[in-house]
Amino acid sequence: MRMAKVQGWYSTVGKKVIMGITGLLLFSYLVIHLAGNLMVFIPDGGRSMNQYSHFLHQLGPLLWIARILLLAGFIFHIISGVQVVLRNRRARSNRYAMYASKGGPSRLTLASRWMIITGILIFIFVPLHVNMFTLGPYYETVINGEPMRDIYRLVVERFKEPGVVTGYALFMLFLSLHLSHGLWSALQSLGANNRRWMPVLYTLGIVFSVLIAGGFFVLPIYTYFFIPLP
Amino acid sequence: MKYHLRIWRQAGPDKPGRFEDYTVDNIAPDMSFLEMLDVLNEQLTKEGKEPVAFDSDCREGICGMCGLVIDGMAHGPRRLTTTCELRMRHFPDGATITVEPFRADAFPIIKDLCVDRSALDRIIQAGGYISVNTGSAPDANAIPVPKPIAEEAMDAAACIGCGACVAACPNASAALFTGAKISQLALLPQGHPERERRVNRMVAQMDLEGFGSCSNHGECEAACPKGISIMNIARMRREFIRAGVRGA
Repeated sequence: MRMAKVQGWYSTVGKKVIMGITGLLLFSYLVIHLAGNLMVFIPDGGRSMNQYSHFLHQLGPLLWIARILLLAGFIFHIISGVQVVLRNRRARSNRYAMYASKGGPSRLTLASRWMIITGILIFIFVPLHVNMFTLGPYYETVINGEPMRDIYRLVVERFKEPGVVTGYALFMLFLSLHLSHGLWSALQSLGANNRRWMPVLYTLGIVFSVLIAGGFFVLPIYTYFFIPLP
Repeated sequence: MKYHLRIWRQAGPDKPGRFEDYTVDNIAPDMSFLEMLDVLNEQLTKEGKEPVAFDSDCREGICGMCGLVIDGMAHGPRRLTTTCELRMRHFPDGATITVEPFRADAFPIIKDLCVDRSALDRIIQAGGYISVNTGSAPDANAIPVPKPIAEEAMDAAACIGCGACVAACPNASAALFTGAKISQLALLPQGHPERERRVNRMVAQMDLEGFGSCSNHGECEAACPKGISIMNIARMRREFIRAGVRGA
């Protein structure tokens, strides 16, 4: 069964390059996002976190450029991902009765096979998450005589709800699975890999997936048990 | 030794297929998997039944003609082994073995376990060559190639084109095959003049044939009887990006 002629960035290799670039962009955002969130742990009643959030909102057009870039990255990542999966399904319309991994150098894991599933779950999570916080209730506080949004209060309030905490923790497990294959895979898709670096990149991919998703995982749980409502 | 076989039978490309059960007895442990199938076919012929069609040629692991999916693994459970070199001693006596053809829409079934892999040939035809004028052969060492690079190119060139990478890939992608064929030329100075054109044309042909996209599962490397590394897929992507940046 022949498919339409595709070239350049529309080819299977090109799509993976797009997925790699947008994946790394989204990952670098996650790193910055987590760094900001870790301010919850600073026991100053949310001063640092609110000031950081205020600083970001003061950036004005820069913030909007970042948001648009991220949204574009998110959309391109999803479109390419769905296209790749649909193509792959067509590439083997008669499935094997029996299929097994041969082990050895194979990187076939639950995470690598479930990228589309964990991806869809993250796609469901992100709008809910933005709706809960960025678009959530606007509390105000005054720090150093300057009125600003009390995002800290909203975060702590939300993370006092057991349902929210459980949901967040669960979604972070999916994120961890997605990153554990996605990180090294993004570099491999961009050709940034060789024999010597392969084991290092693969290990680092897993380490970062645990660190990043782990950070986001611990945060709501810690807040639920140890941080008092302001 | 005795084996129960579950073999995919299909009369022709567009005919419906199904599994059929057979039992073979008195199989010597040193027989290859294909020799065991020869015994089965002799048995079927004597019974007046249609023998099972399967591909084979050199039967010494160098030609790339044989290839079956045995118990869900391309070329069977042993690593770095073609189906013809797989010995029956690797299967316990009395085992039930499932045998299927290499499955990919780009590899249409011809009959039973035989598939048409000419899609791989067309990928080579699209650019897996070096254009030179014929004439007297140049001096062997006129173009110096560093030893590590030559070895890397030779490792990629070990591909016998059996298609196990496609069969083993959850996406039926031919990225390892194409990556190896691009790499063996991209690594050497002789391959440089046509490198941009080569990668663009070979990738386009690979997509045109209806192979899936590579998701970096790495299962192809595990299934490859020559152990070709997925680093060749990374090199294909570098070549692709290089060609894109240069506007080729």
